[in-house]
Amino acid sequence: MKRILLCCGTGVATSTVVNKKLERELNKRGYKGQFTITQCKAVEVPGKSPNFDLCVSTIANSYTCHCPMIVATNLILNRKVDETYDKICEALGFVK
Amino acid sequence: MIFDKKIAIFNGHAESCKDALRILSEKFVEAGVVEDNFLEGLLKREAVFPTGLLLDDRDFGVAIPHTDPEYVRTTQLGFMTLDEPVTFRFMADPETEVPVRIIFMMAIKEAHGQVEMLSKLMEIFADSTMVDRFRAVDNIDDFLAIVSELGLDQF
Repeated sequence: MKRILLCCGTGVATSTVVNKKLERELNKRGYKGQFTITQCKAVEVPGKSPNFDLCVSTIANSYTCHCPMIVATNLILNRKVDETYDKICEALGFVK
Repeated sequence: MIFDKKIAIFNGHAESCKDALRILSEKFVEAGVVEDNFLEGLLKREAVFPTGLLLDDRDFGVAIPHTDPEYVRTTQLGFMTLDEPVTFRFMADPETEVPVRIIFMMAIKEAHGQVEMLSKLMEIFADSTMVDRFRAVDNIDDFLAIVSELGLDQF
């Protein structure tokens, strides 16, 4: 089970949008049941990240992150989404 | 409904990002949907995690200023277009400036209760035709008609 930490500034808006999109895309790619997504605020990243495999952030996050991090603002705007999802899958070890 | 307080300013003028946040947030305070220090919350958030978004194929961007639920009484959105762009910082990279002409200010009370509304709202920004319509709209009736056309009035 891969654990994804999803963060944005307040944990209420953009990460909520990306949560749904990311879950849908990973399921579509055949990884249903192989991951969990936990949403948080950026300030919580230093404390929470040691327990996660990957942090996906909708914002430029200057806090210390103890796992690999991918900035995925693109997913909000539906821009270069495939490229971003590929990067996320690669980081999770979800290789085709 | 997220726009039922009719917080909307068309072709307004602001001297800066901060000024725009002040002007629009005052409407939220007047409507009684946020705490009196809502602006403080917005500015605090904007300084650390900016909310400007660059758009493809357009020479201006949008911003979605919002802050922690503790500053909010009732979920409500506000809209503003600007006669001259003001400079926000890019959400993905604070070093990058975004000349913003459209602002959707969000007062959100429930942390995870607005997924569908937010998803729909964000879809606007990926659609250049829709962006142009919001850029051009100049009165509350037309604005609410677009909101309803998008299904945003069901939230």
